[in-house]
Amino acid sequence: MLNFIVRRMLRALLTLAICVTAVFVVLRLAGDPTDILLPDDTPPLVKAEYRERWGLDRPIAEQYARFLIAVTRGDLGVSFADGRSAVMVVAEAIPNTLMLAAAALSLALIIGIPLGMLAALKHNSALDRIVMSIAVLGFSIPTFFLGILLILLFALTLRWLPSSGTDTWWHLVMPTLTLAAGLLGKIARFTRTAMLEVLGQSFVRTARAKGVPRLPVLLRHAFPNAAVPLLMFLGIETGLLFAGAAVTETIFAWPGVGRLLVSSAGVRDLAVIQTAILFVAAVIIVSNLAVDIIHALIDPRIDVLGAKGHAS
Amino acid sequence: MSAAEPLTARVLTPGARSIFVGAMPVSIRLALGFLLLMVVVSCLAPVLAPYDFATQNLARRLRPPVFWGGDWAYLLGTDHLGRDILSRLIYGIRTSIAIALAGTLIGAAIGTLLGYVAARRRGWLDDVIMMMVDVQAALPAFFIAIAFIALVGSNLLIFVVLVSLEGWERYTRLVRGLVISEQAALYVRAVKALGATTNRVNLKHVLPNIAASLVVQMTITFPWVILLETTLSFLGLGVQPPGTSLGQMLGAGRNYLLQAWWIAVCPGLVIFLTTLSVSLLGDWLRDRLDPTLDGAA
Repeated sequence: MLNFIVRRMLRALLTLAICVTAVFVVLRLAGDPTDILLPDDTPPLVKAEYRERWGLDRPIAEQYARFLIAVTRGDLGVSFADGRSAVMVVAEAIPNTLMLAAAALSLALIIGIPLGMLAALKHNSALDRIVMSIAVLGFSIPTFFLGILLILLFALTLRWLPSSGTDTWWHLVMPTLTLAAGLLGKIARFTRTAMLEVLGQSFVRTARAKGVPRLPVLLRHAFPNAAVPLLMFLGIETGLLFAGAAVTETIFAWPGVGRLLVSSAGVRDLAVIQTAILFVAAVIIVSNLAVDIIHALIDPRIDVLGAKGHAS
Repeated sequence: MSAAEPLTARVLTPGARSIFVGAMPVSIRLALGFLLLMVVVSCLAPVLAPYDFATQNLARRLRPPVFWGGDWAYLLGTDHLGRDILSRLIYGIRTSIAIALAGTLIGAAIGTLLGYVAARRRGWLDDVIMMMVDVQAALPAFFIAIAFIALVGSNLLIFVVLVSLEGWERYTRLVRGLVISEQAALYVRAVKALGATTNRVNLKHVLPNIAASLVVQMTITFPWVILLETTLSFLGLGVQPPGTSLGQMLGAGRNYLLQAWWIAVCPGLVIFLTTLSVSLLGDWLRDRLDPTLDGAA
C-alpha cells in the first residue's frame, strides 16, 4: 500500500515537472519576451540590457535550470499589468475560485446524487426518463449560454439577483447555478449507472432477503459501493470544473483565477498567465492524486491494479 | 423489410443492433434532423444567407426579430452594427461546424495513430506516449489553448490544431487498449497462423473491428470540441472579426443583453441544440454499436 502511494506521488511530481517544462517551452516558443513586453520603439541597446538582466542571453539549458529553480522558490515573475509579483496577484484570486468551485460542487452533489439514485431505483420508469432528460440538458447546455440566460431572466427581467460582483451572498447564486448545471447532470447520470450496476449484485439481494428495509439497503449497502467509481469520476472532472469556472467567472465578473487568466491572456501578461496555468495544473494533479490515494485506502484491490501499471 | 434490417446490421458490426432510421425513437430522429440541417446550412451558406454577414448598416442597428415586433427584411433582427443576425448565424454555423469537424478528425487521427504506435512498439515509446496522455488528462485543452494563444498568438490553422487537442488522449487510450487486447483474440491468432504479418493483421482485421468504438468516441468528443471552440471564441481568444463564429457572436451580444437579447440568444440556442443533438445521437449509437456496453444501462 505504502509502495503504491509513494509511486503514485512520484508520478504526480513527474506530471507536474512536465507541465512546468511545457510552460517553459511555450514561453520560449512565444519568441523574445523583450519584443512582447517592451514597446516597439525601444532602442536595441535597452533591449539588449533587458535581455541580459532577464538572463535571455544565456544558453537555453541554463535558462531552463534557472526557470526550474525560480519555480521551486515560488518566484514566477512580475505582473506587468499590475506591478506586483505574479504569485501574489494569483494568490489573491484563489479564495474566490475555491469558494465558487466548492459551492458548485456541493450543489451538484447534493442534488445530483439523490436524483441519480432515484432514477436507478425507478429504472425505466417515467421518473427515470425525466431525470435523465434533465441530466442530458444539464451537461449539453454550454456554460456561457446558461450564464447569459440566467442574467437575462433573473438580473435583467425579474431583477431578483445581481448580475456581477462579489458584495453579498446573493452574488454567489447565479455563478454557482451556472457552474453546477453541467456537473449536476453528469453526477446524476453517473450515479444512476453506478447504482444500477451495484443494485444488480447478489449482496444487495441477500441484504433484502434477510429483511433489511429498502432504504438502509440503498444507503448503507449499495451506495458506498457506487460511491467509489463516483469518486474517481469526480477526480477526472476537476479540470473541467476549473475550465467552467474560468468562463463563469468571466461572465459574472467574479474575481477568481479563471477570470484573471482570461483577462491576462487578453493583454499578454506573461507572468500571470504562467502562474495561473501552473496553479490550475497543480490543483488538478493534486486532486487526482488525492482521489487515487483515497481510492487505494478504501478499496484493497487497487494495489494489484497499481502494480500492473496502466495495462490496457 | 423489417426482417432484413437487423441481418444487414449484424454483418456490419458483430453483435450490434440496427442503426437504421426506422429503428430510431422520435427524439433521435429530431436530433439527426437538426444535425443534417446544420450540415446543409454550412454547405449552402452563400446561397442561404440573405445578406453579406459583415455588411454594416448603422441606420438599422438593433432591429428585433420578426416575432418580437421586427420586420420581414431581417428575420432574426440586426446586431449593434446593423448586421443581419440570420446571415451571421448561417456563416457562424459554417465556421463553427467546420472548425469542430476538422478538430475532431485531427484529434481522432493523431490519437488513434499514437495509440496504435504505443500498442505496436511497447517499450519506451509506449511509456512516452502514455506520459503525454497523463499530462493531457491533467491539464484540459482549454487551458493549454488559452496559454498558447496568449503567449504565441493565433491564426486559423493554430486555432484548429489547438481545438483538436480536446480528447485526443481518449482515442490513444482506447486504441492502445483495444489493439493490445485484440492480439489474444481467436480471429487474430487464426489469421496469423495463416501467415499474415502483424501490420496486415492490425490494419485489415483489428482496425475494422474497433472502428465502431472509434465512431462512438467521436460522437463523445465532437460536442467537447464545439464547446471548446465556441468558449474560446466567446472569450475573444478564438475566431477573430471580421470572421464570425457562433461563440464570437454570443460574446459580442453579451454586451447588449438589455437592449437586444436576440444577438446573444440566437447563436447560443444553435450551439445548445447542436451539442444536445450530438449527445443524444451519440448515446443512442453507443447503445447500439458498442456490444461491450450491452445491458449496462
